[in-house]
Amino acid sequence: MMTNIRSGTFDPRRWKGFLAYRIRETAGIERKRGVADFAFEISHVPGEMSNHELRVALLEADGCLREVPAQFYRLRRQGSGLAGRVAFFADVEAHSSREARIYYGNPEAGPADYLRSLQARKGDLGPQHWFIENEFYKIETLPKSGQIWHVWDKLGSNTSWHHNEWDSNRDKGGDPCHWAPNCWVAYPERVTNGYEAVDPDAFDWHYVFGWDNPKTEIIDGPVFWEMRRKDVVWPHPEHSSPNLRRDRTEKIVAEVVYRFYDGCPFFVQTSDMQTLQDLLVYFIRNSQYVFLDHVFTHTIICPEATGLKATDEVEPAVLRLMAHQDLKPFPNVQHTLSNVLPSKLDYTSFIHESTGDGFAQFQMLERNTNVHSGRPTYYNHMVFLTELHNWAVYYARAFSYTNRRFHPENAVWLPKGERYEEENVCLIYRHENVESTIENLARWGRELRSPLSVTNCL
Amino acid sequence: MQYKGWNYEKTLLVRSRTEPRQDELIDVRIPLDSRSAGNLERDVRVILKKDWHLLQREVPSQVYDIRRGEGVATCRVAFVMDVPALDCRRIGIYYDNPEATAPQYQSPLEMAGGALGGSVRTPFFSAGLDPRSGQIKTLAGRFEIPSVDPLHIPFFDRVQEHAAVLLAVKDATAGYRAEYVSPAGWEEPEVREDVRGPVFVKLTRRGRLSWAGCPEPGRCPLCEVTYKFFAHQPYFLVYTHMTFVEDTEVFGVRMGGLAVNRDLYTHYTFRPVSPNLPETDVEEMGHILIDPQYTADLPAGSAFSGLLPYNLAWHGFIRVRKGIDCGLAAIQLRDGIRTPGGGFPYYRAATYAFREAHAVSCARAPVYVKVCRPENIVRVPAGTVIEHLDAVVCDRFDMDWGSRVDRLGKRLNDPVEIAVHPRFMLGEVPAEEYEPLPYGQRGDAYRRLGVR
Repeated sequence: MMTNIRSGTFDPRRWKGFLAYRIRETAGIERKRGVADFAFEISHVPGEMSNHELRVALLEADGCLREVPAQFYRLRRQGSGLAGRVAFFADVEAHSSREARIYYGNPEAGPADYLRSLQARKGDLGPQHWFIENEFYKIETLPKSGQIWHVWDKLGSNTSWHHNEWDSNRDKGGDPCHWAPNCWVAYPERVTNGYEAVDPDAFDWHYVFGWDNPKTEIIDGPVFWEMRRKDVVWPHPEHSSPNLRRDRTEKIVAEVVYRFYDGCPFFVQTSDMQTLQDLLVYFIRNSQYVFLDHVFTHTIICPEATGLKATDEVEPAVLRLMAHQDLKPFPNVQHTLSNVLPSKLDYTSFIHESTGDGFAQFQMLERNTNVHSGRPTYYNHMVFLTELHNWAVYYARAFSYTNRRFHPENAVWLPKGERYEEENVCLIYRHENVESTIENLARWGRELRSPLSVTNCL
Repeated sequence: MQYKGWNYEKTLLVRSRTEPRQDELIDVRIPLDSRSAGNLERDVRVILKKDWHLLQREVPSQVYDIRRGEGVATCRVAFVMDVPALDCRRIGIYYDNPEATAPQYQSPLEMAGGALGGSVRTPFFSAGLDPRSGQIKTLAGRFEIPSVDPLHIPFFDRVQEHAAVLLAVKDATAGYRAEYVSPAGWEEPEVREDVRGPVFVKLTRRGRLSWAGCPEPGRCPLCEVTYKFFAHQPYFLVYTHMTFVEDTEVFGVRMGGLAVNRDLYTHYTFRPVSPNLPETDVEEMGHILIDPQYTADLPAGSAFSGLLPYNLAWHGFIRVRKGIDCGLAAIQLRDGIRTPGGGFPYYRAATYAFREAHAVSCARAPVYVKVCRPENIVRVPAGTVIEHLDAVVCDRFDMDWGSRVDRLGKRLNDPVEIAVHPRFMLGEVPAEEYEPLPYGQRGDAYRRLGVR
């Protein structure tokens, strides 16, 4: 899909030099608008060269060079050289390759000016309030934290998928779609109700959506718009008693990155969470997108295809969701599938059979460790599916999780230095029927897991 | 102490380590001096005793598996009693009365017909056996519902397989083809055991897992299926024992299968295991909607990929808010695979649930191949034995149903303690043997398996 992109024949004669790369398709899937994103290093550039004197041109079959929109970022001078990263889109036939060149050094070249369908527009409700939109979706971030708040599938119902966790937020736009990473830090010794009922004050909410204007870096360009936030994850006492005495020590730090591509139906989300001191927790999680229960009717779960014989296949599980029609046999049991799902899946997806709304989360990376001991702590390590009528439906990955969160003896001790990293690709798509959706998701999975490979042309 | 004209007594001291047990089935093998075993078929009596010299009442008992050897005889005695928690009940088993005649006990357990095509009725359910294979074909609950006449609630009307193998068969034209074989395909298998009494009915059949037209059925796996129905227990036992007599190429092996009519149920449910949860935590049941009203359009075949663990504490089907709510669960009691030299070729071992047009089923599969092509064949070594024991319980469904199944599972896996006095003192004797319903994995193992 090359709409809204002005690309044309490239004249290399005024440029000082170029680096050549071979862009290969290795998964046997024809790539339209495949993302090439790699580091480059030019050993010597003219001293007066501006960073905008950079272009990418693809070598066409007829020998012509065609300039394509390219985003150069994280550029840095290294002596007389220049290093950084570049991202651009390339169409590549299955099992084939083509040459891409980075041209540099042309004092007459002005800043590149490419059209982009992706819009990133600042909202006026707070420092982190953004609207990100392309032809597939519209996304709005929370004004204070920058977490994804509302999601619209423009090819589906085009209504926001968010739910209402707290009534107090119902008239203020409801609660976010993206909840993770997060942790309930447990204070089992904190008793405020005299043991007459479960004690909601026995823990503090540490959620990144509770951030108040965290440290933020934004990378903007013709190919993608990226927002990187990193900060201490403080408790947000509005979700439990604000009167409780809380120390001001830093307990958890996290980084969350969103990258939205021009003209692509998916966005990339990563997170990196670390415990900064020994903690007692009721749960600690990432990979959690929460949606209103009646937005979706079905879910699809595809396990990773590991250890298979030569031509064997895994079949995705297609399940009818129960929450939206109040079909759960035990209405208060939140986790539909208990804890049987592994902590990493090929993908999970939600679809609505009538509106066509579709959301898929490809779990590209799960990496956990303890930075001091090397071994993370797990108590109930899994992905779980939660659905409750008139509330929400979501998947989340737990590292430690107790089902009886108000029971102080279930608090899990987590040592300092627990580090949990993830990378997800979230696809917002139009669902037509189960067969075609499974086929499309399989293709997306293969494509996302086999990005275009890039090698130097020596 | 003598009980009327009886000459000898074995005394059992029965104790529950945890909770009191109502209607606990006790099934013991006792060794005897063969000189006292001449009338065992008729003269064994089980008496509750208040103290060593104080008799209370006789309880119905069932004597079976009598073996007479030189000097020593053994028999099994089964009966039902209430066992208090942390306290002993004393039982006297009286024997050696040459004049005794066989007792006539009233029992709520009834069996009509043979092991093939017969029917069994207990206070909790009635079961019909398929006339060709002897596999259970129908199961209906017998529930007492206040203000309603006693109802027979259908739980299924399908010939059960319990075990199955997807054989990879060489085919002259296609190279290989898959042949699905199970005890449900048996035609008048050998009836190995037909034990009937006031306490239980035990039926065992054996046959080859082969298909119609199989050129060499003797090379196919040998399978034995045992049912045990009880007068006072709300469940029945299904034991399958499969032997691979030769190296066998397969695309799948399934054990512990349960199949039901799809329109009778709304959900498939399962209880997984979480050995690393804190003691004070609880494990949740999982549920998948199967009601055809909502799922008819979903693809047929494996409904939940290989995502369910191979070891589940139990799984089954429930009907909720659709007529009379009820639940059918298979509690896993024993599972074992023995391969000569070890190393059974597990492949995608998991519990699977399957959707068909009119049925849903579930089974544990140590081998599961999705694409039946030659390169995906799994070879099961000769001499491999796979066995599986489930307790199948049918009950009304309510918000406490899962807890009841949990409690039953715990109970079945946590046998009561039995001491025997006096020990038999004549030379080589077998040890007293207590069969806890009837095998069990013992409490610790079951806890490791999950339910707490």
